[in-house]
Order: sequence, then structure tokens, then C-alpha cells
Amino acid sequence: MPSSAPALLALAGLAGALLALPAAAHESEGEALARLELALAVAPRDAELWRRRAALERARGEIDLSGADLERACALGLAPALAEQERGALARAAGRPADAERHLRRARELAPDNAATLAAHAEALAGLGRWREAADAYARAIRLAPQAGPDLHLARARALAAGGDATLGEALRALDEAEAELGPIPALVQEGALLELRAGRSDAALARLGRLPPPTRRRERWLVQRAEILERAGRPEQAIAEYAAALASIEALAPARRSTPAAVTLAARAREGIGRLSRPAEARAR
Amino acid sequence: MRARLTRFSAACAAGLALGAAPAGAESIGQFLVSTGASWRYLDDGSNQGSAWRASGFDDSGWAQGPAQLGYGDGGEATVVDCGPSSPACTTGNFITTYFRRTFSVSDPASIPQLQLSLLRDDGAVAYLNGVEVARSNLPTGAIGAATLASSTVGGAAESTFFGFAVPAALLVAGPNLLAVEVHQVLSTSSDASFDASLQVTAATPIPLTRAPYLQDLTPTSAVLRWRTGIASATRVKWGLAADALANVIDVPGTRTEHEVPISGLPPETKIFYSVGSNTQTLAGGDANHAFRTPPPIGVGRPTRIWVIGDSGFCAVSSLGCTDAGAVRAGYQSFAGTHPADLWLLLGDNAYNSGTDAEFTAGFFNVYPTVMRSTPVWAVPGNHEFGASDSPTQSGPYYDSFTLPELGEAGGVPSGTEAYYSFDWGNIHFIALDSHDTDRSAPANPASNVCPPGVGGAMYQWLCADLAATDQDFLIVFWHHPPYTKGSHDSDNAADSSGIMKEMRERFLPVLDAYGVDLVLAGHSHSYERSLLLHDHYGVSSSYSPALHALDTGDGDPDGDGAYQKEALGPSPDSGAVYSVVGSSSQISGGPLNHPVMRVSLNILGSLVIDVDGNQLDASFLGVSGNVLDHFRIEKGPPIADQDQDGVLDPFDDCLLEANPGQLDSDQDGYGNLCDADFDGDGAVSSLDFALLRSAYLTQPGDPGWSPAIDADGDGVVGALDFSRFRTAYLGAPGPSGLACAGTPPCPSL
Repeated sequence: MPSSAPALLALAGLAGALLALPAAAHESEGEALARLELALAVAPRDAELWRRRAALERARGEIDLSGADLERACALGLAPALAEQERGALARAAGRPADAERHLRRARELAPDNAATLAAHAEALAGLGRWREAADAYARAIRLAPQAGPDLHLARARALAAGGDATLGEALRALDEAEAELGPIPALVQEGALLELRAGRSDAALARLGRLPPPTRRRERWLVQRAEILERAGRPEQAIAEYAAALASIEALAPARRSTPAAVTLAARAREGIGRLSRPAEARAR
Repeated sequence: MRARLTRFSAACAAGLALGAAPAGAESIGQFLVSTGASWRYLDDGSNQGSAWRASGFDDSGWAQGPAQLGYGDGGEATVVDCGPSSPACTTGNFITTYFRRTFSVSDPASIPQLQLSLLRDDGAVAYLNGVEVARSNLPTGAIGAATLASSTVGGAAESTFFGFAVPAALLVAGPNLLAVEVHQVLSTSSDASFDASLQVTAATPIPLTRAPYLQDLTPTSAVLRWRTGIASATRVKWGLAADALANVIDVPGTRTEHEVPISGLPPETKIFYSVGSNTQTLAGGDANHAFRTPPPIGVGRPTRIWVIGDSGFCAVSSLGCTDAGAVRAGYQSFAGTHPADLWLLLGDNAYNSGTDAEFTAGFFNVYPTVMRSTPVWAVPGNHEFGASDSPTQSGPYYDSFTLPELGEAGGVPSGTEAYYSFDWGNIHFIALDSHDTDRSAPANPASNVCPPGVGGAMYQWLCADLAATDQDFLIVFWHHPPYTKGSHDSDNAADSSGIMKEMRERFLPVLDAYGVDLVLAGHSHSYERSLLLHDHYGVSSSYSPALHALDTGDGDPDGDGAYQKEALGPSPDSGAVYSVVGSSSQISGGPLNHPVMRVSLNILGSLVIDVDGNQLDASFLGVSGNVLDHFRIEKGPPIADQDQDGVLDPFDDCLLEANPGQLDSDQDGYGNLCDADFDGDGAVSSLDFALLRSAYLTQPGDPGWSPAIDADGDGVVGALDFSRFRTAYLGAPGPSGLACAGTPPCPSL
């Protein structure tokens, strides 16, 4: 250990203590920055402190300052994969999605098994409309994550679906895989129903919705959704019955609840549905 | 093949000699398996599944040789085959090589403990009599023949023996088997090494580095967790008295992170327990280590809840430890002999970055006397995410807590521990991740609440979960407050990256629509508590008491009176109280002048909530246990559902007959199931019978078909419909709870 090591250790300890100072009154990112600056004054060669300051500046929209601090952190030995990930985040915050993707790709090359890096790269690819690559990156992130949550599965399916009708089946299979792993999670089931509708398979959409337990209260949204699918499936009588049941449910609410924006919007959807279906078939066709 | 047979023959005699049973009882320090011992091994790249680990497996066809076994380093006593590129061993090397060693034990009862020393390059799993006892440099979960080691081993690590405490209870009198599988990190890894010893040792104290804590408690199950400083066996004992822990759960193998699910518990019962290994009790077996299982879901009982927020400052500050300890003591002073049934953490449980060490220092070391008897339910705050990640559910936060993701404690499965719900008696709790989970919601979220398939997974799950609950009280908690003027400012869209604004604008309309009663958050290091509020999603300047306050009083039964909500159960758009409880280990002030807040205090403390009958009482406690704020939400009687079809009477178009689908084909307000008045004249008469007769056995599209006559909605007018008609004959349609019933078409249509 070099002779200056004890002094360095003491400085590092002081920097830690400064970081741990109680947050000042009404602390915002600004106050947090001030505390970091104090710590940096004591330990100016601590790459992690520079990285944290860069992240705070990025959150405040101070892109140039953040970039300078990040490069300082890199010069002081910030791990290359982390550096690239931070550069990606910075480029994204700066509105440079292509640069963000490039940095995140580099981060991914440096840490190929890091699920969080993969997910960030997938998001960047999706932001650029590179759906196939995004879906593949999401799939790999899902495989590598200790326990991939619904967000990653949903993002993967949406990337596949955004790729066009050719990958719609793949998107539905991705949702099925996710359901097999996580169970009938509402977002996965609903997404599947929407994709089935897009493929013109109303029965399959209803079957997917059937996997969700029906609500015991405030049934109107559920009823309107079923009605809309039945309407698209060409089953006007059943659709009208569901729309009517939804309206009845809304009408049965106390006046104050019935007049909330959400209830009014929903009632309008139901009435419009009944209106459409009550017109003669020829008029509906037009 | 010939060379293999030769090696087997040569080693056989040595193996017999080494495997001879020692005479008499074993003694401390004795090696049951020595380094350099002879092992049988299989080095052909095959997949042996799991049968090879069993004592009765026939390994007579395997080769045998003395340790160290391996290749590529030059010092091996026995060189094993590396694969098709042998002897260069440059590519396509076998991933897994199997080793077995049989040894004899005379008196297992004389052996307190065993120490396994394992040299492995690159990774290995060891089994004693078929039970996994050590895993080194291999991933968790199932291990197959193709599983790669977690990292490359080089330098001194190639000759390091790694130690593992092994429970002696796995030994049997007579022959015993130690089996080891060694895995490469890559098929191009140029070397492999293996040796091991198994020694009789005195029982060493197992350090308890995280005291036992309760997770995922339901009426019939619980998860007990604790951490030890060395890998050890896992045992939980439980029973109905501290000195009668008759139920024993042993988990095979050894580990430092112990997580034991317990099932088959009786509801509403005090359960005593102890935790430890097969040789040592590390905690429990006394009156302090006990918990009470909740009542069955839906059954209301007096329930006490302790709530702390931003409590983890002890991880980085001795002052934080002092303050967190004082807050804890204040609660314990208040609670006395009536501790909380459950406990909520509002995030920032471990400053500054939520590392594993910070969780230990900031949470587990601060509350050992609470967490051993009160189940804790957490949400992450911003400070957790220096080291954890929600989309992948990785990092210390997710490693530390076991939270329900499959609806195992009630509620709709979320598929993630980042956000989840659970039921406790007649209370439904919802936990959201405001920081690291997609917060997407529909456009115009105030008027477009819960459209199908729109928004992020958390938003959609929240909609489904709230729609599915029928509980008397609804409590939602997350970290970033929708309203605060404390150390954070919810009006400032730049503060906390706009999360507070997003949560307010996107999620509060859903909570309003479904009648949530109480919303808890932290983040600002203060206590702030609103009046009874609804329909306010803007900044503080947009607040209007006339529009947004349902009760501007203080909610204190001894003051302005309790906040009233009309019905027990979800009461849509009937207002909620919003509380910031972020001063459980530090205070940071701020202007504390948000207009929706009825009380704002820059004081250390925590919140205790008592739910009893139709009342929810909340008390903010200072560090001496003094009540600094008290409010009550009082709800009316429950709304009936006489036919138990899930549709409450005011909304039900057949009051006394279960028709969850609410089919009402003639739109007269009476559901088909209770409406045999097909002609709408207000009576079920021969005229209606004539209509039934003409429609009998028809289906959609047939002449005479009428959906209104299809009472059971099965698509055909049949015997069941006739039977129902007979029951209703000469009566009136209904009864129905709909306001428009009997006035066809229903005015609302």
C-alpha cells in the first residue's frame, strides 16, 4: 500500500460522510448536486462521484455539463460498460436517439449478459423503429433477467406487433409465452385481445379476455369492452345487450359519480355503440 | 475404451483400501474423505441427469483415480479426458465431468458437523447422499450437463479450497456417498481441476446476519426469511406454543439466504416459530418470535397497520440511526401490547443507493424486534434504484423481499414484485412502483380511465385489480407523493423527473373511479395529510375547495368530525385522503403549504392505521408515541347483493336471481332471467305464454325467435326457459334494482 494511502482513505471517508449528510430543507436535485460537489471537493478522483453528478445534471436537463462530468468519470476509470450505458442515457436525454442506440450497443457488447443493459438497448432500438432488433434484444433480456416482469414481455410483443402483420403471430406467441410464465396478467391478456382483433379474429380476442376474472364492481368498462369486440365480431344483438348493461350500470350510480368525466365518456361510447347497431344493416355497412 | 478399463482396474484396489470403514465412533478432526483420495469419475461429455447423485447408482463402469483430477494445469494426479480436441483441449471441451466417492461412517450421531473443502475449476455442485450441500461458481436454479460456470477461474483461485459447512444429519451409518459435478465456464476453457475433502468438525456457531423476518403472510401461509454469515442448513420449526414447535421444515442443502415457505397454517391464529439449522437454533422458540395469521379474505377484524417512509437513513448516517430508532421506539411505546398486524414500507428503505450492505444497515439492523413478528410489505423508492432494477427484478431490493406477484395473497396477479396487491381481512392493499416501472397511461387520463389495452402494464393491472376487488377498505401506497410541498414539490414538473406529476395525473383518476380510501407515499421528509379530496389532478393553484374537497374538515372525530363515505366497500368517486409519511428517519422541512393538505408537520414520526368495522382511524405518532394528527374515515353500511351474483342490488337487473351477465334483451330494466313479461304490459300472462309458445325451440335467425324470451341466454328457447316462465306466471316481472325497471325502453337507453 503506498504511503499516501491512509490519507486517501481518510479523504474517501470524509467524502462518504459528506454524501451522507442529512438532506437540506426542500432538497431538490439542486441541493443533491451541492452535496455531491462538497464530496467531490474532498475526493476529486472518485469516478463514481462524477458519474452521479453527471446523472443528476442529466435529470436537470444540463446536457453539456453532464457530458463533461461523465467524460471526467470515464477518464478516472469508470467501468467501460457503465460508461457506455451512461453515454446512451445522456444521448437519449439530449434527443439524439441514434447516438443513444450506438452507445447502448457498445455497452451491450461490453456486458453481453446484463439484462438491464439489453433492455435499455432494446428500448433505444424500438425508439428508432428497428422493431425486429428491438424484439430480439427484449427476448434476450427476458432470458437473462433473474425474473423478467410484464414490462419487458409487453415491450417485446409490442415491438413485434409494430413490425407489421408478418410478425403479428410471433407477437401473440410472445404474449402466450409470457402468460405461461407469469399467468393471465391483465396487460398481456388485453394486448393479446387487441392483436387478435387486428388479425380479424374476434372469437380469439373474446377467448383471451375470458382468461381474466370478471370484475365484481364497476362492471361498465368491462362490459363496454366486450360489447365493442362483439360488435366487431358481427354479433349486434349480444353487443347491444352488453352496451345496455354497461349503461344500466352507469345509470344506477349516484348522480355525482355518474357525471364524472370517466363515466360520461364511457356512457357516450356505449350509447354510440347502440346507436351504430340500431341503424339498419345497409346504413351500418355504409 | 481400453485405456479407461486399465485405469479403472489399477485404481480399484486403492479405492477399496481408502473406502474402508474406520473402526469405532468418528472423532473431531477426522477426515471422512481426504484430499488426494481416489474418486470414480465419468469424463465422456454425457448428460447424466440426476440419477448419478444417488447412493444406489451403479458407477462400476466409471474410471477411477486419485485427486487432483483434471487437465491442462500439469499437476494432476489423474488426467481426465477434456473432449474431442484432447490432448490440446482447445475447443469443444466437455462442459461437465462427474465424480463419486463412497465412504463409511460408523456412528453418525457422534458427528456434530462436517466441513467440505472443495477445489474446483471452474464451478461445482456437491451432493451428500443425494442432497445438494454446496454450490460454487455456478448459477442458482436447476443445473444441467450444459450449464456453464458463472465466471472464469484463474491464478490462485485454481488451487483454492472453498469451505462449506455441511449438516451431519445427512450421514447414515454404513456407506455414504459424496458426489460432485464440475463444470467448465466455456467449451474452450483450457483446464479443469477437482479435489475435495470432508472433515468431521465441532459445531461452529452460525452467525445470524439478518434476523428472521416475515413475508407474504396470508391466512394459511407465510414465508420466513433470515441470513447467516456462513452457508448452513435451513430449518424452521413452528407450532401453537413457544415450547411446542411440533412442525419441522428442513430445506435440503446449505445457503446463507434462507427463505422458507410455510403452508397449512390456521387462520387467525398465533404461530410461534424458531429458525436455524438442523444442529442449531439461531432465533425463536420464545414468546417474541411469533406472528398472527390474518382472518380469511373478506372477513373484517380489528386490524392495526404500521407505516414508515424514507426510513433507511441509518445506512449512511449515525443521526439517521438515532432518528429511525426513535421513530421505532415511539411506535412501540404507542402500540404497547397491541402491535401492528402488518407493516408498510413506503420506499427509500436503504440510503443512498440501496446496496445489500445498506439494506442490512438501514433496515434489517434497525427493526429486528419488529420484523420478527410483523409481516412487512414494501415498495421501492428512488434510493433503491442505485442497485436494483425493476424490469428485470434484480438487485438487493428484489433479493431482500418476497412479495406476492401471482395473487397468492389476494388480488389480481401482477406478474412482478415491483407492484402487487394483497388482501388482509376486509382491506385491499395495492403497492405501486412509482420509480422504475413504466408509468404509461392513456391520453387524457382524467376522462379516459382504464380503456382496454392502453397504457403500461402497471396501469392496466391497476385497473383490473381495482375492478376485481370488493373489499370494505382500499389502501394504495407508493413512494412519490402526488401532492407535497415538503422537501419535494409536486408542482414542479422537473422535481424527481416529473414522477409526482405523472402519478397524480395518470393514476389518481383510476383511484377516484374505483373508490380508493387512503393513499400513502413518502419521498418528502415530512408528514403531510390531506382533507377528503377527489377529482383534483392539477398543480396546487388549480385546487378549488368547492370542486375538489368533499369535506374540508380535519377528519378528527373529536374535531370537525370523521370523513364520511356512503358505503362500506369500494365507493367510486367518494374521495380519498392522501398522506405523505416520509419522516421516519430524517426531516427536511420545505414550505409545507400545499392547499390540499389539512396537516403538514416537519416532525419525525410514523403512521398507525386502525381499521375496525366501518371505521379507519389513522394516527401520526411522534418519537415519544404521542399522537400528532388523527383522522377517521367512516363508511356507511355495505351495499347488499341479495342474489350473490357479484352485481350489487342498486345495479342489478334481477335482484333475486343470479345473472352476472345482466342480459336484458328488451332493455326494460328487468334482466331476461327474471323477465317473463315479454309483451311489456307489466304482468306475466297468457299473452306472454303465447309468445313463448311461438318462440319455443327457436334459435337466432329462426322465425319467431326473440332474444328476450331466451331467459337463460343460451341461444335457444328451450325447456329451461319454459320452466322459468312457469315460476313467473301470473306474477310481475323482476324484481329489479334498476331505476328504470318497468319503463320500456329504459330511459337511460
